[in-house]
Amino acid sequence: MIHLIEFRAMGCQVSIQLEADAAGGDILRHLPDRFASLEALLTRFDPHSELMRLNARDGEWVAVSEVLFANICAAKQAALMTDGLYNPLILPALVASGYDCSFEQIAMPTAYAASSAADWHGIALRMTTQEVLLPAGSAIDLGGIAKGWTAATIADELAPFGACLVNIGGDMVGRGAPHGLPGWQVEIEDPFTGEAFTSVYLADQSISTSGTDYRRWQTATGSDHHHIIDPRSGHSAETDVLSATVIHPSATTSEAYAKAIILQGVENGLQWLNQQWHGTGVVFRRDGAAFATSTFIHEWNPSQ
Amino acid sequence: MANPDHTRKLLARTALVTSATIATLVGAQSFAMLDARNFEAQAANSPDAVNVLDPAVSALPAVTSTPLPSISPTPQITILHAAPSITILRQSGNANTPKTPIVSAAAIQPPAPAVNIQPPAQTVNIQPPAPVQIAPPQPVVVQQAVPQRSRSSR
Repeated sequence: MIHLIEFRAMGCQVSIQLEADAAGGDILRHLPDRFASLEALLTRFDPHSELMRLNARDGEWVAVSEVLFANICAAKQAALMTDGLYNPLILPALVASGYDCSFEQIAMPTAYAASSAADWHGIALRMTTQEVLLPAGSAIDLGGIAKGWTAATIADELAPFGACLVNIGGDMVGRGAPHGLPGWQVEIEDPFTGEAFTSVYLADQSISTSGTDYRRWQTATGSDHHHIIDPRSGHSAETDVLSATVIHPSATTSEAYAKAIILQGVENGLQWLNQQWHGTGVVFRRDGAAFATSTFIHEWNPSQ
Repeated sequence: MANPDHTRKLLARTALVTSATIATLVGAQSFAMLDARNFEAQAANSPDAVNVLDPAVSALPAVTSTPLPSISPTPQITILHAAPSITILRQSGNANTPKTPIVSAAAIQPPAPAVNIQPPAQTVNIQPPAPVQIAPPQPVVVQQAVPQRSRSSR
């Protein structure tokens, strides 16, 4: 049987399915608390979170928990794989653009002051002591990396009990496949209609969607902004991509790739994705056109 | 009695002539095969070659693919064009504008406060709200896997 639990965490709707015997319900019951404990470490919206305490000590070595260390390692790796298009040191630019509290609380952002992100190469790590050094004047926002890492971690914890799918606000990790199916059915949303555009069966893979269609706001001066900040300029990304969906074995990588495609635009982004290991995806352009990598059609056999 | 020197020279000349003849024959045959191969290749690329094919061959049934059974049907997509690396799934102009509204700062400004607000005449004893037990989310059993939707985080 399939057990399902739904709740809100990390500013998103969380939905988790587990195929297990009757004990599956007990396994899922503790997950809201598990999410809350992870969020308490990783959020940038609580000044007392471990992440924000680290951010307050930029320029010095700080010993951090295993969870935060793993997330910062994943973030630095994502920056490496995208050649800095994903940059975890984007926080000052995000705050300057007006995204200084959880999106639900954005009310009247002040004037927009762009500032480019610091060089991510400056994030130094000591593996043996789990210490982190942030460049002076910089601060980390884990954003989608924390969601991807959490989804993968929870999925790995559930996998010994049965096939599972962890969905955090539309970014998902699947482990195994439900009985009789090739995987967990995941629809890719058409951002123009809000309806399903196509669907795939996800098994032992991750899927992430990032877009400029959501989390948009306007400053007091009337200028429009969205939450995908170009780390090179500090401005909201100027792109022809409305939304990008990437499928990859690693949840943190699919998150970073989706953002990298948005920053590169449809054509360059998809060509870049084709050159990456195991990357495949679907992109919606602002004019309504939809594109996919050739591997998406050939390997993922979407419903068509 | 024949001169042994002459006999040796004769044998040598005979061997030379024979090997040269064999080499010429082999070379000629190789060139002939090469020409034949080139001719076949040209013939295959030539539109005229299509006309000489046996009609029975061109009437072979087309290869068809059997669609996978779909458990939860989703809207059909049509592949319009397949390039080596990028596939167009939908042309521009075939979709409506995004339906997600932009949050407008003007739209969410708090209402202007009333000017003449008098404090209440009597001291009001404000009681703290009674504690409410918010039930934690509970897992449920579903008959089959619930399709999920990938989209921008929300």
